[in-house]
Amino acid sequence: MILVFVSAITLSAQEYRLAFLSHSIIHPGVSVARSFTLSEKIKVKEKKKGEKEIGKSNLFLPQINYHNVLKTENSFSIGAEIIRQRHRMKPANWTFETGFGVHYVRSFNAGKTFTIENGEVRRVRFAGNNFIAPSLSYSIGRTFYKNESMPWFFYLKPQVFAVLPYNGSFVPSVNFQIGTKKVLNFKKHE
Amino acid sequence: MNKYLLLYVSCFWLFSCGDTDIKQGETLFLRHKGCDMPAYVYGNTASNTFMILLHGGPGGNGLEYRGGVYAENLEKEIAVVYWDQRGQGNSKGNNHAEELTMDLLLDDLDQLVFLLKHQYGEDINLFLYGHSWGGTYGTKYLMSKKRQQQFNGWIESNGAHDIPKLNKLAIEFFQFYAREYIGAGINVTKWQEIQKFVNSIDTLNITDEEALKLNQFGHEAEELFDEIKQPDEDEFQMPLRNPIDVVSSVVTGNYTSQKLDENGIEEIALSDSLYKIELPTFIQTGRYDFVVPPALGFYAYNRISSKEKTYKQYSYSGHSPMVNEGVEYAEDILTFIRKNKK
Repeated sequence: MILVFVSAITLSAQEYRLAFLSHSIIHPGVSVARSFTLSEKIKVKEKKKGEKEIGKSNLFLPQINYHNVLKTENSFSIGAEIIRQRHRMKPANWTFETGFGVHYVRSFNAGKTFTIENGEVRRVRFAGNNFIAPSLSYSIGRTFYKNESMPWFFYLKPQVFAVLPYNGSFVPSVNFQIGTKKVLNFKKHE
Repeated sequence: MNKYLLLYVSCFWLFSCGDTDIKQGETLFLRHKGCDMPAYVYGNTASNTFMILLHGGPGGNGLEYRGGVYAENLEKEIAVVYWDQRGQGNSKGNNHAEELTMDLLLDDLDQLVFLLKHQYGEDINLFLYGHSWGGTYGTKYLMSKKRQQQFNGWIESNGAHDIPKLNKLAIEFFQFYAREYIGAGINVTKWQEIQKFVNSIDTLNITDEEALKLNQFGHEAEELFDEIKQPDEDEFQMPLRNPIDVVSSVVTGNYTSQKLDENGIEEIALSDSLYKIELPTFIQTGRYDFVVPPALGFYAYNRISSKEKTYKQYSYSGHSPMVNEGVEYAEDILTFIRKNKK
């Protein structure tokens, strides 16, 4: 929401990504991201079957992720990825992305947390842990109904994190996203 | 936009449909020395009777014991505290490797007992249960009379309270069955492989690598016995959506196990101190348990000083009788608890 708000007051037409996220397959969550294009090249090639258009872009992708582990934790992360995007625009509309990023993860214990000091039990509010998580990701997406008024871009994105420091070491963490992206124009009525 | 919203809500709803029973328990987190350790409390808390479950490993987790008919039957009558020990399961924090000692783990359990009594009342009936590595942990904990006084009883299931002795007994156990089965022409290749390995071990100097290999063969050997009762599908099931985070649990559990090994847990030998246990005790073993041979449990039964003590060997079980003979296993625990609660 912070991401949407900040973008809304700064820029006009913006591309947002909203994804359902499954953490370690069974724990649900959501991911919201906003992409900024850093550089873009489009090549048009004449082939026997017709024109072929390929785009290559570098993107900056700040994102907020959330997932819940039942009765255990609510985990939020804020971070950003640098994405290398390859976009086959014609004849098909496939997008392939490879990304690496860094995230700050804050998990909140989903239950009451207590500590005992000098024989006295004290409840710790908003207890949880802080982690740093570098990530790698790969995604495949496709645009459907491209020539209609409401084209639909759909993507699948596995993302692997190394969460650290975690119990004196680190643990891998895997998210799988199924998402869509949409261009929103906040200033279209101006 | 509505179709996107509908898609997302459908996915979230689908994955949110966990076992409703899983959602009914309470999670208490114990924060102690750089680690938040969840204790999942499920079952009949109104009974005022609680059983702290010390899981196996090291490297396991509490909730992997919460599946199937034995857990259901226990929870109908008592509350079970499925606790993730430090650096294992869903416990997490930034504790440092050098702190991972047995003394710290014992301190953690002191704190958990204190917390449970604070939350549910000083007058609750409290039983300690340990399976496998949990048997090492629990026995070590109960070496103190003061600590014993906090509990109504101790249940040691397939417990590894003397690891050097366990390894020697496992070698003898393997040698016995290898002779029998090779002689009978059953699974000859596998038994020959095991026999060759155990015969090569110098029992006066068993290395960590050999101990690990013995443990691996112990699990593999269970697959060679048709006598071990396998649970029906409806007997032992974990719901799809449950709190276990398999990836992090396995990785962090292995790391913790390795650190505890480095800090000397493989040398824990409590046979000569078992006489210190005066608490009512129930010892459970599996006839075909090659990981912790039943002889170790029977030895403990003979050595503890408890006036109220019971020993039971499960005839159709390996290392996990709660899976193989769940109904009988749970009923035996409940019988022991009924007899020893206030």
